[in-house]
Amino acid sequence: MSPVQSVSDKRFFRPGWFWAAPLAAVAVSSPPLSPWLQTTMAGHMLVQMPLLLLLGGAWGGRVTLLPAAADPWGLTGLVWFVGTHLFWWIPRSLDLATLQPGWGALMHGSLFAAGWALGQSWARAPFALQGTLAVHLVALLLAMGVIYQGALFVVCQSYPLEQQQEMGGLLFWGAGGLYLLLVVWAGIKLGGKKIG
Amino acid sequence: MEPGVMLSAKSLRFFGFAMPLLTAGFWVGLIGWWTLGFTAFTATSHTFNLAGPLPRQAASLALVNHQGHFFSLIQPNGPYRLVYFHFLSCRQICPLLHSRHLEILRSLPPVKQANLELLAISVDPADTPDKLWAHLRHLDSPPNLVMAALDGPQPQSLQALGVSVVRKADGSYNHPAFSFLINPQGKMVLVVDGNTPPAQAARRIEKELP
Repeated sequence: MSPVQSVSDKRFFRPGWFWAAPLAAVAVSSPPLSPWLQTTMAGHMLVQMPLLLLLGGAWGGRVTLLPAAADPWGLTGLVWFVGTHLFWWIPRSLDLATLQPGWGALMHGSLFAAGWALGQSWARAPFALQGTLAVHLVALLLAMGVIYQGALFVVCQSYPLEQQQEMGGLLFWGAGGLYLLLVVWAGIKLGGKKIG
Repeated sequence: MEPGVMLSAKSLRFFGFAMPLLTAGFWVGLIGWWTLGFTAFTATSHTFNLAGPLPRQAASLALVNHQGHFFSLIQPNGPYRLVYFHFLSCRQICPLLHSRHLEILRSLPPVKQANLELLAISVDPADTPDKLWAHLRHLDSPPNLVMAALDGPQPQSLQALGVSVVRKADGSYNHPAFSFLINPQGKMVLVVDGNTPPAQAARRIEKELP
């Protein structure tokens, strides 16, 4: 029994994608790209980390581990994604990942895996669950934006105060933009249907 | 054919119910352990909390002062010491820290001031006693301000003291902006964070001084 469910499913299996996503993730996680992205806090948290999640997500849509019957709403994958995401947003975790190569590799691998978990769970999740997760993400970004922008001391030891404040601003306004996108997405998804 | 077809429908239902709960439990447990029970999210707070509750015996540090004299942070029957960390090439926080601590000192009654030594410890090995002396002359400093540098790398002692110091890629350092009050018995009796207004910090320190 192969964990690669979609190998037998010609509609979803794209051999190119199968190799491209992990290879791109390795490129994003290795020199020269990784040290360059990590020179700034924004490059690290707003480019490298989401990119690894997206690449994992692209892979997750094609390589399934948990059968739909065992995870009917995709809850396991979504919880795994949220847990991983929260863990690496803890300033101490981010510091270790930036300062120590072993921790950095662990972060890159686990983010790719979290994206993969999200990728295979998203389509199974009902709209309410998808909306809850999206709102959670926007709230997390907004809260971190306020903290980073307002703190007069360095929260992440790996980056200077001005980068932290710049990152806070980007997160704050980025979260606002995401919130608007979320409203539009919800409107399209519901298509004017009455709920309740 | 899906991989799950070998499991019975009942097992699959149980799996679908238990797996998200187990996964959530795993992450809550891991993050709780990692942050010392959701109390320490930064490297600074983690190192500080790990050192133990206050008052606690302070770990000793081998130091050299701006006059080139070697001494220890913990000296039996020494003075009360208000310790803070800095490095001379710092252009952001450290100059503010110096001003802040001088203001704290000046906010204390003269009798209390006399019982307190202000000890500024540099975390940068490049800060030699000569450089510290040159810097001290630029500050409008009272006689009880001592500038010191670490006598060699002492990461374990710093960690035991509850102080997290990280050298960044650009060669600068991150260190706590706290003020640590250490009594003559070598106990750390009070820690004031860098956001506390100097007058308020002085009042808290005054209560601890004889």
